[in-house]
Amino acid sequence: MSNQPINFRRSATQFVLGTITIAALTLTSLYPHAHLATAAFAYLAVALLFSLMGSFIASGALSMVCVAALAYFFAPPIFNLRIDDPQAVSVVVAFLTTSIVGTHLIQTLRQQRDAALDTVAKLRQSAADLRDREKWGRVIFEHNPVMYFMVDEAGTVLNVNTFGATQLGYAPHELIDRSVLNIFLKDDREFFRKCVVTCLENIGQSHTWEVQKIRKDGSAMWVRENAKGLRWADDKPVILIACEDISERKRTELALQRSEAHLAQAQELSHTGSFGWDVATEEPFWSKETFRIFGYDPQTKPSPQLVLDRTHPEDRACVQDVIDGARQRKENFEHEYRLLMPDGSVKYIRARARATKTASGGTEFVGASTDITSAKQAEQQLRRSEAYLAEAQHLSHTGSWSWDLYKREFVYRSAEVDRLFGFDPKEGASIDAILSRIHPDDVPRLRKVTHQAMKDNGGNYEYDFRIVLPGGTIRRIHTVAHAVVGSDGRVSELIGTHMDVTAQHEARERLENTLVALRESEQRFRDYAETASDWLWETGADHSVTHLSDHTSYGGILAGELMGQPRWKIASDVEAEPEKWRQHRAALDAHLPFRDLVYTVDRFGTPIYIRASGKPFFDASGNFLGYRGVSTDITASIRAEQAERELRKAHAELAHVTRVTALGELTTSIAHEVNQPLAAIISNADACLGWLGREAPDLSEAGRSVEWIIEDAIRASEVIRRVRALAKKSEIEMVPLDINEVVKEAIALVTRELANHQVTLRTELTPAVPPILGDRVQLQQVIINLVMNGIEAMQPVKDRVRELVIESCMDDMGRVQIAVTDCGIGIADDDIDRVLDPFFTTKSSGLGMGLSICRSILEAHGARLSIVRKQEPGATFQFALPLHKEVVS
Amino acid sequence: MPLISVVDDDASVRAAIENLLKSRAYTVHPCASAEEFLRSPELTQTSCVITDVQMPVMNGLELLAETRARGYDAPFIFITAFPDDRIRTLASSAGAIGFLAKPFAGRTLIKCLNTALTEHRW
Repeated sequence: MSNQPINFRRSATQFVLGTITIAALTLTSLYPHAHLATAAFAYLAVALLFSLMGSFIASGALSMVCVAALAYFFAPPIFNLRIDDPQAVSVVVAFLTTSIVGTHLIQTLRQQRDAALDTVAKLRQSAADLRDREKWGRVIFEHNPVMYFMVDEAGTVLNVNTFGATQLGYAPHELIDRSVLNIFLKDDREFFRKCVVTCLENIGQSHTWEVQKIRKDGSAMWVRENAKGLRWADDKPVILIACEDISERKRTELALQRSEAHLAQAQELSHTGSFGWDVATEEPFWSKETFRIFGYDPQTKPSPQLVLDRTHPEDRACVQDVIDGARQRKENFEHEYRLLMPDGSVKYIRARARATKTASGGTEFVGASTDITSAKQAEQQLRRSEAYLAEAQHLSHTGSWSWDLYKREFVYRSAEVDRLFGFDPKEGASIDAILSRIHPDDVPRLRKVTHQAMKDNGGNYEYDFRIVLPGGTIRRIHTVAHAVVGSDGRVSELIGTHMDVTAQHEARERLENTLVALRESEQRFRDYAETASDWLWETGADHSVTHLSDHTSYGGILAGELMGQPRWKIASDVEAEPEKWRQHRAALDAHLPFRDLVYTVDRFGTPIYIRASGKPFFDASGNFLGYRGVSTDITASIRAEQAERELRKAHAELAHVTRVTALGELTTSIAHEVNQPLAAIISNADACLGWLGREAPDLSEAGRSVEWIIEDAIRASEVIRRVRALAKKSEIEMVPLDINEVVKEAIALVTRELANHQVTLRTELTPAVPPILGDRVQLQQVIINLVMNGIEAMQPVKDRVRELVIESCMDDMGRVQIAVTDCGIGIADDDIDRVLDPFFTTKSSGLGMGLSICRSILEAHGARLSIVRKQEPGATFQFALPLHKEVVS
Repeated sequence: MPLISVVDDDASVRAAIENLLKSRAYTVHPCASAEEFLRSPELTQTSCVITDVQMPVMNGLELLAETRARGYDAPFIFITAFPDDRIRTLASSAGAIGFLAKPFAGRTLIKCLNTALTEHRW
């Protein structure tokens, strides 16, 4: 097409030059008025001449111009295109016909010549090309980085390019005329043979395969072979093989395959399926593992709906939200949800996806879904076991911790540690707060442990310390710790446990105290046992003693004599008390237990009293084996009882003696009391005689006199009875008494004494006091004694009325209180503590036994004699007697 | 008949002596205490005083002294249940006609009384 403008220019040039030539010819012809035919001939010559320039169109156009010029200038009428002359017309037609045909012929001739020239040039060119191509082919064959082999149908190498041979570590001549099979693995040779056969059967068709070739050094090389069967010289078939080293690609491919396999395996192992999801096309891609996780057939067409279908109903809304959100926002997402599998099992899934831009500008999510069910279960398990551990720590009051020795802080500490230190684990107490609760005395010890741990190369430590809780409560902690050696060989941490051993400590202390107490008690009982007169014994079926405890009364002498003897052989009172022993032996024969058998044993002429108790014992089948029991030497208590009895007797006698002494002191008073009625009796008797001896005996007066005599006699006998009662040496007789009556009777004996000493007696007796239990005589003795003392104390008093007051009343404790108050000289400070002692007296005469006896008597009555001093002169002696028990209860 | 005053704080003894003297036809003025006697109008008409020695507030000896101090010389006979020599001596020296220990025979008292009345007559 490029020569079109050239042709056009040439045609235009041809036309323009032709037209100019014709114009010149026309002018030339017009001047001599040339003939039409002449002009036509001239014109024809020009037209044909110019047609040689090659353009048929331009020639045509020129011919038409010539026609026009002939018609205008030369055919009559002149200067008119109209041709009237038929001759002229024929001339013009002949001109046109000749011009066209001639032009055409010339054109054809020109074309044939051009074609011939062209062909010659082409032939010359192709010969040169062929030479070049052969040369290029050889260069390419030799230097193209492709291995070329040409083999014949027998597999013999006909030719190989240098590159090919070099690649295999050979020189070309080392391969030519040898079997090509040498450069294949034995296992691949059969395969190659088949390939060759295929090529020969399909001459001209290309075949491609990949196979390994063996280099001269024995290493293998992956090649891709492109082979084609050809007919070669003599029509012999050959095979041209072009080989391309694809080792690299093969390696990549294998690596890819391997990594794909690894990926698949990894996905399977990690339960992680990958997915791709193009939001625009809604066409997700799922890996095999994804299908497996969701439990779908890999043939299923994946879709977000499949995910929703499998999602646990409770999580479905959330998952729907995530998917919708991803569609709208096209941002990375991550979520966890559960699947409800067709078999009812639940799987936990964690999915993460990253939004990426696709080539078309859309968004594709690429992500991974991981089946974290086992992790979740493990987590739950862990959480549960952590909870168990925490609970266990809580229950056992054991806290575990790890302490950084250099940073001096906890690397870890369980909640229980906080609790042990009295903090709420949720509040997270500071280190200082925790350390401040360690008992100050224990801080140096803990510091020593940490220093030791830093010095030692690992090791275990066990120590105790105390925690002081707010409020002062002490908590005792037992710690076991282990030093952790870091990678730098240096101890960096102590890990350990704090255990609350407060309770154990208390228990141990209690136990120790108990043990001490027990030891003391044991010692005490040993002491008791060794010093006491008790011993344990055992007898055989014949009642003779078989066993005795080590310690026995009277230093074993008794033990030696007891062994092998029945009790009644060593007793010294068998003859004296036959009935007691008869009953005892009857009880033994009946195998009955006995209690408190008291008998005597003669010891150097002195009786020893023994109290024994025992019970029979039997073997498993109920056969009587003997007695076991305990015996006590009660000699001492028997003697003590005897002594007490003696003492009581002596006491009573002493009381009697003092009473009689007191009566002696009262003799004059008592004589007066007796003599008064006697005097009255005698006087009345004489009067009676007098009334009877009158001339007219006055019987009435005489009778009245006798009545008085009787009254006075009774009065006298009453006095005598009282005196006798006091003087009587009688046993103490405790009977319910009205204390007021006792007081009145006592007063009767001292009335005269009071009168003689000008003492006024005032009694303030509370009526109807409850009865007390006591001995009438002894209580009267006490009252008389107190009254006599009062009288005596008031002897020096001259300036005031000597008044003695006797009161009875109920005291605060419900006892009956008697008080005897005088207004005498009182008791000196020095004497007040001794006044009740025996033989203490302020009198010039007297034994000083009075108040002492009173005290003894009252103590025997459960009362205490006390002295009360008041503001006014004098003293009050008082005592309170307990009520008669029957009344109280 | 002369008036005899009997002073004794013991009612039964007082009554018995009064009874005895009345049976012998004496007129008797009984008094329970020395003060009663001293206050009584019979003080001036009493021919003889029979009194107990031991009495509260004022005893028989003091009564004798007081009576004499008031200018009356009626004879005194003491009766006592405590016949000790000290009091007997005191009574005699004070001018007592008789000193009787209880219990005494009635006729002893009468005899003593008669003696006192006889001697006093001059």
